[in-house]
Amino acid sequence: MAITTTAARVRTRKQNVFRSVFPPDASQPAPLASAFAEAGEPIRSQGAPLPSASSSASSSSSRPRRHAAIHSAGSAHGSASATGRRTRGNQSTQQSSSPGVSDQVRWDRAWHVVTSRIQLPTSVAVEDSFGALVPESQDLDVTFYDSLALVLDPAALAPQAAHTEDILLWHSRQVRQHFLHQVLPLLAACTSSHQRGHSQVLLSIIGTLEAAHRQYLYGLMLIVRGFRDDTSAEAATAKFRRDVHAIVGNSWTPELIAVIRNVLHHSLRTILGSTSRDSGLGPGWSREADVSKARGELLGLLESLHQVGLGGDKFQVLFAEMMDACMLDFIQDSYSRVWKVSDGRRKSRAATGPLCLNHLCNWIENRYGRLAVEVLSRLGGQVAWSDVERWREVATGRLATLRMHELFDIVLHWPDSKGGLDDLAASVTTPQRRLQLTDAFSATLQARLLHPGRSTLDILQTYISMIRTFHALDHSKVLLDRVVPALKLCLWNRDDAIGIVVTGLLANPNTANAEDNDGKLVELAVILNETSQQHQGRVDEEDLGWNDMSWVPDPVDAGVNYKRPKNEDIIGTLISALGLQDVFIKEFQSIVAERLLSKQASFQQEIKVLGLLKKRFGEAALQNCDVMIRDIVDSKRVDTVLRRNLRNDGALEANSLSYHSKILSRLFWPSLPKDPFTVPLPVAQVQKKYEAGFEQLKSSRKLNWLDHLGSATVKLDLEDRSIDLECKTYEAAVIYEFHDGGDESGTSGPVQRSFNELWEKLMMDEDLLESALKFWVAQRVLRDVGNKTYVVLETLDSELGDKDVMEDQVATGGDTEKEQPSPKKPKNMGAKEREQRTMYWQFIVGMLTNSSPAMPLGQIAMMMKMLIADGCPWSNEELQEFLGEKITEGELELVGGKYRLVKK
Amino acid sequence: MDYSGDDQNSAPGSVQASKLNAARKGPDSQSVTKRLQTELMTLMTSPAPGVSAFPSADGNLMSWTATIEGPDDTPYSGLTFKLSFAFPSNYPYAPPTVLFKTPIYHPNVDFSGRICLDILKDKWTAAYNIQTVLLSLQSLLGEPNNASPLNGEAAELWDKDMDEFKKKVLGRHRDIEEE
Repeated sequence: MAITTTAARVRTRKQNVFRSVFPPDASQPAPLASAFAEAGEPIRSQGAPLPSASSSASSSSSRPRRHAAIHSAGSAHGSASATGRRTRGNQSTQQSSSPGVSDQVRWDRAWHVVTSRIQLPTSVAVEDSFGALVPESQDLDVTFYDSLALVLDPAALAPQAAHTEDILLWHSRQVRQHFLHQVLPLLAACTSSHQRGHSQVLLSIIGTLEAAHRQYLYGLMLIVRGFRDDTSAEAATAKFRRDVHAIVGNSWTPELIAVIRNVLHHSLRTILGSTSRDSGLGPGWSREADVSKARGELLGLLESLHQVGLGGDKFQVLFAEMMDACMLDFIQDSYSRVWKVSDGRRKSRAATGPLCLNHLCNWIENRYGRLAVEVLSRLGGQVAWSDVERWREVATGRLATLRMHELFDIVLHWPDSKGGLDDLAASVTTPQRRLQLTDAFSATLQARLLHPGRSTLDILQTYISMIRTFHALDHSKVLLDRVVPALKLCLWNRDDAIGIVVTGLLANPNTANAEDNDGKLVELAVILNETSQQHQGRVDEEDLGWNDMSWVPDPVDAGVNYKRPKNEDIIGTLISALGLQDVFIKEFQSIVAERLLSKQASFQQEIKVLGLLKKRFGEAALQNCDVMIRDIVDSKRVDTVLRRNLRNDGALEANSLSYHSKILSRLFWPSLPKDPFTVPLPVAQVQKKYEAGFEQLKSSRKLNWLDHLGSATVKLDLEDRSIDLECKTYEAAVIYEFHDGGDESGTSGPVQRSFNELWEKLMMDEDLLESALKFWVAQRVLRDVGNKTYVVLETLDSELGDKDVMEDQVATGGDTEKEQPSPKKPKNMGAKEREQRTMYWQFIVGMLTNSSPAMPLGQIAMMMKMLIADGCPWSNEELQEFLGEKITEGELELVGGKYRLVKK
Repeated sequence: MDYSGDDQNSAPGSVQASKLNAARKGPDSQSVTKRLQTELMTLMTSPAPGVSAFPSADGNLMSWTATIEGPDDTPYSGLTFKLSFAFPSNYPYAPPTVLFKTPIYHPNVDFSGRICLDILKDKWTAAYNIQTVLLSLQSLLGEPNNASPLNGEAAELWDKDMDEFKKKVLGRHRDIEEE
């Protein structure tokens, strides 16, 4: 009996040892319960331990593979020691009361009592189950504390026990195990439940972790109670906490990160106020109540996160990322396209800088910094003042970047966008940022302005705004010079640029807002009138700026030949951007010539512009223009004198038509095209007399008539109406041809003339004749009756008779009127264009003879662009058209997409 | 448009100038380019009959291809010859390297197309240009310099047996048609 009892005890002990080494698995509550029962009542029956042992063995084999490996190693050791002890037990069965064995037994028992007490609950369905701690019963406590004392200090209380263990180590191991197998799946279940809001998910996670913590700490607390001195107790607690935090801190899953990120995002946006942008730059972005509520929530959340061990480095990194993103969002949301200028109230305070920038700095200090400080203090970190300053710098840089990308729009909205520019001026302080600014702007410029879709007028207008904007941004003009080359290049390729500028300069500044100024740069005229007055006073003072208190050194990134510009000087900058001065002057000359020949009465504006240009280019360069203006003034006088003379001579009859002329000095005028035609007889007579008179007056000079330039006032008496209108001389000549016939054939109906008749009679250029006929058709004086024959429309009734036809014609008349420039174009540019075409043809022939016998269109175009010294103004389409003509002429052939010369 | 050409050297952002410069190196490359461009313009605006030249198809101004039509009243009448011009970086202070690409039977041209012509060697001056070289070569076809032949047989036949010479010329001539 004694033997069996001992054997049973030994077996139980063995099992206990096994269990103490391998914390009982959570999935099997049964053996644990039995073990506890055994511990409480040492021997009940022989067979009792056996099933539990086998079940524990089977359970260990049913564990996941990973663990099994570790445990099999451990179990080998365990069983070895057990057998060793067993042999000893067998040898000394009689000495069951020996002190070594009894110490060991006592220790084992105590171990049992303790471990079963702090055993973590094994099945956890919901997080709440963690909260139910084992109720403390008095009778248990006594045994527990006795056992605890024994377990904690085996050396003193059971010196003979050979096999002892550290209960703390055991507890942390079981905690780790428990966390891995119970809590983590629970957390995963929490994060994967999508139907709930993120904040709720987070709360439940925290709840779970908190409950687990409570549970773990409860066990620890029980153990620690057994410590006699406080310091070692504290040390043990601290170590345990660290362990637990390490375990929790390493359990970040992507889902958890996503959840936290989301929750943080919401609360940060509320607190930092980046959600509301309508309130603009007022003191509160979101309602204060919301903010403080959200702030409270966030801080509470952070505290609990910190407590459960999620406030470690990973969280701090995450938080930093979120804050960073939040700053970006805030800047983007609050300041994007907000270009307010400081209003009056603020202006009263001295040195209010740019509005947005100040606002941003305030925000960084008062909200962003505050939040960061609060958060980090909860997490045990610290924020230095230098950190806040760095944040401010970062924010300033970001605002600058935002403004840089907006710069093009700022330019377009100038001057309403002054606030934005102020921000930029204040934030762009380093050469790097200046470079960034010019780079960004150049890129935008290229993408948004300098493409064929933009009209030259647009480009020029933008350029003017650019000059103004950049001048406000940077008086030194260095920035402007850096972005402008691409624009200049683009303007050089626009043939009409100079024309637009010159007409703009010559426009009437008083009609700046009138509608007829569409397509003109009237602002130039306005600027011209303003600056011409300002200019006078400023010239001298600039030379020696001893008293210039606003003087600043040249910017560091200025070029070598940098010269400080005096002022905005829009016109000057614009003109210098347009290329060489002689080109500009030539264009100016031809435009002025056109205007001088118009019926305009006074030429004040022209004279003013001329004065301005003289200042810029020198007297000599503009001598021609001077002469031109003098010509016009002179010819008025000469005209009066001549006409008086002629009348005195009786050469001019009273009833004859009044005839005026403008006498131009041929040498000084741009070459005007000559399109001679037979002027109506009466006019020719007067011309002759006039000519004679002139030659009398200025003996060495001779008059050459430019018949087609000028205008005539025509009065037409038709059957039912009379028309009084002003038209071109050639138009007058054409309608005059319809005049004669009426007298001869009286009643035979309206006069009818065919195109060819007119052409032979007038010897007028065909294009000119056609456009004149169209003009009269549009005026409803003539009617095209088909077959290139025109009839005078004597009564409007006859038009009504066949209204359909007429409307048709009016419509076509209208259309062709618009097309008018196109048939005239090749004629006008005739000689030059023809010459060019011959030259280009030579090029193409040379290319196809020598370079390569067959070439595709693209390559031809490329070669021409590269090799022709002046560049090739033709687009690919124009070139294709040209090559197409050559194909129809039989000079070229197109084979397989490549052009080649036809072999002869 | 006539101003953009003048601006090319001064304007830093000029695309054309930079494109052309990028193709070549050397301190004087820009002046060579300019000179060749001018020559090209002259050739195009006032072409000489029977000769033409143009930069090669890749747009490299330093290598050209030229065509000479055989002058009437010579054995080469009715034939066309292609030549290659390679310009040194110090052109026009050094002569271009000129080769016949079309096989030609001529006393002063060897079988690999090399030409014996004084103005392409020691008599070269900067006053010559592509057009003058081409015209000299054209006249060389009619009046070979038999005193210093590269092709002795041709020189001999030219003097002795013109019919045989013509036969050899036609036999050797082949139109090269590069794609």
